Amino acid sequence: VSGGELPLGTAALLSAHALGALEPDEAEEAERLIASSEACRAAFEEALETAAALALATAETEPPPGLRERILEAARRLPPGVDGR
Amino acid sequence: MGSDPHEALVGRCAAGDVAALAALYDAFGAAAFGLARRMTGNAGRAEAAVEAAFADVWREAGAFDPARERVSAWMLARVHRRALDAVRGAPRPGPGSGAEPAAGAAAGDEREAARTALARLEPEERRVLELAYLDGYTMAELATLLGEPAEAVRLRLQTALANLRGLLVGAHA
Repeated sequence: VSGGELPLGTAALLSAHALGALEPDEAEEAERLIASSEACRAAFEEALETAAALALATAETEPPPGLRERILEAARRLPPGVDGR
Repeated sequence: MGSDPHEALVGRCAAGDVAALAALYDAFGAAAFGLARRMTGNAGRAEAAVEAAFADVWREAGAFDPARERVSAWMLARVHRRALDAVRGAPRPGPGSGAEPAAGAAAGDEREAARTALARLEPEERRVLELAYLDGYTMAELATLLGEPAEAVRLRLQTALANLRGLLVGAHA
């Protein structure tokens, strides 16, 4: 998040992307930066990790019955990860 | 973070072990559904988002890198992405709806640390982060909502996230 050596504008763009707050064109720009710069990737991952606190702090809610089995059934039909096995 | 027992489960998902996905669901299903429910304000859309997110987890498990990410953050980021897709272009549940953490929820160390850090964050900073991350407002929409230029909103989000990080890191020190 601090962005280290990154310009403040770049760090702010990556933070906003981690929060899911960018318009599609800005999100594409952020993705290009992340793909092309290790510093940007590191700053983005740090921002994602921080943003996850907002998810972790949200109250747990018991999921509806049947959801677990539907997820597992879909997984049984779907081959695992692209490069799995 | 090699001590995280969930890392092995993600590895087993990458190898096609459905029992490992079941164990991840048992560990994170309630957190995932709680997040999606909070974001979409709708049980049906939350359920669809969680279902899609776990399919993503199954598909993307091989790309998980435990050296770079914690399993909880990685899992919930997928739920967040799917719930955000559902929120965009749909009626919002409205700012602050049901944002209060449930006292009785099963609270691991990570959840506790996250709640403590957020409670110590300036209320205005917490609000703007929640509007973006949980309510799905884009920066442009936030600028309109808050009556501020987009650039000011961008810096506000950046500052708030940096301060939240400081509180989270400080908690581990």
